[in-house]
Amino acid sequence: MDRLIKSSGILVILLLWVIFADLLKIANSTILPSLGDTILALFSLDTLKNIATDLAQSGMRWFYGYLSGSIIAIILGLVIGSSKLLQKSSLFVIEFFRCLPVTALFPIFLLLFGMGNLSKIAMIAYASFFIVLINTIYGVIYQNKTRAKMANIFGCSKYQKFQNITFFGSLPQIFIGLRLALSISLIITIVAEMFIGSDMGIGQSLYNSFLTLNSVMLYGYLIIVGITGYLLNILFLKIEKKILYWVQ
Amino acid sequence: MISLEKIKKSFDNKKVISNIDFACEKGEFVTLFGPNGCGKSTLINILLDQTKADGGKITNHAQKIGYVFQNYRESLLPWMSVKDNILFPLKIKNISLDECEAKLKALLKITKLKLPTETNINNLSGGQAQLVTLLRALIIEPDLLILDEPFSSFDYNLKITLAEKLYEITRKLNLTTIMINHSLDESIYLSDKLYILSPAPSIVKKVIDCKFTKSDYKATITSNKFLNITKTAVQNIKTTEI
Repeated sequence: MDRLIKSSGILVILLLWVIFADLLKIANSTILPSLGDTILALFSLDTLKNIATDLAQSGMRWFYGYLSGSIIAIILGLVIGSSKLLQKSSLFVIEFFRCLPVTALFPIFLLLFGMGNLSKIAMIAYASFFIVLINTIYGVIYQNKTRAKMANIFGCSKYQKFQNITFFGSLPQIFIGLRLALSISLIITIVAEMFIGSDMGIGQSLYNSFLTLNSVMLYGYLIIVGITGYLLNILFLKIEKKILYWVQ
Repeated sequence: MISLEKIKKSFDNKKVISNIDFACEKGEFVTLFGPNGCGKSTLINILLDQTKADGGKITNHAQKIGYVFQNYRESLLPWMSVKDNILFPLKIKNISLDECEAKLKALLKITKLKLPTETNINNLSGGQAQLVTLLRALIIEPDLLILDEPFSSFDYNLKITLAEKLYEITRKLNLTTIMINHSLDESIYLSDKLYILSPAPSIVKKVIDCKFTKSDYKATITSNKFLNITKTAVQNIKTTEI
């Protein structure tokens, strides 16, 4: 019963798709192709091979971008969050760059890193970086004050306090940032591939399908992107639960 | 062992502590009893050098201080097991694991406390979690134990159990203890000396000797001696305006 309730949303969408595209034929097949045709096209051997290659390429860009941006952000966030002086001095810079949409910075990234993978990875890293950075800084700042007092009373050194209390105490907020950055970085991966262009990748293939008016594949790729994001989110939640075992 | 003379403290030009003299001898259990905002916690923070007094003299011969927090859950580290939480003050002093384990075993034996030491803190009840903070404070073999409203979040039945346990442990270990508390019954039961503070700007209204032979909680608080002390204390408590 629980599974049925959970999958009811997607079943309604698929049902509406069948009603509008296959039964009522309200829109022409270029705007809304048949659900059956879309699924059949997706599961043909050639398409599956292409999708696998695209997923590997996009996945690689996303992975390196997300990971590098997040790791740098966590390290910097922990350092900035631990120092009032750094917090004050970096506030303007962080807020300034955070407000600049990464899509507006496409030309800068292209000039700096060229048309290849590096510029796309850098954009994904940039998008992940600020979300994780802000959350890490707040995770450190809004620590539980009683624990800090406890550490002082028992004579913890600054490093012991950081190692035993600050780091673990800020992890729940860091994970909020990582989860937000996960979906944003996926969006940037697709957008960067669509508009900067690349040999392969989900974004590039999606854009190609649009240019050639291949609606069946366009919708097929959208389904793939959605499923990928959903699965990554589930994987993330499982890892989060494992690491943040104490959070109830 | 500990004395505070003519302590004064203001926050943002608002006088919280007007003039307080306070003393606690070795092995004595002293309670600071007063309304909210009268500066009890500030006084402890001054004693611990976490806050600077505006005036007065502080004498503190305690080298090792154990502290039990009012918000006990927040003072524990939920990513650690019960055992690691209790041993935390020792581990940060780089004491070997074997020595830590031996000290814990001895402490559990002397306090007659039974706790699931390998489990996570989140799996403990409120009473058990508060006992963990007490054990964490005791594991360092403190010269001074400070209890900041240790029972404030428990129901009456659990308060009695914890008060009896605390009485037993502090007397057995001959601990010098300072407690901040709001409940008169618990304070008289546990203490040798009771300091009644006035509302802010606070002064010591009365120091009451509460030292007499005490048995279990229920029998003690219904004894004539206890009721007489309560009467003296109540006569010196100024009611707070709403």
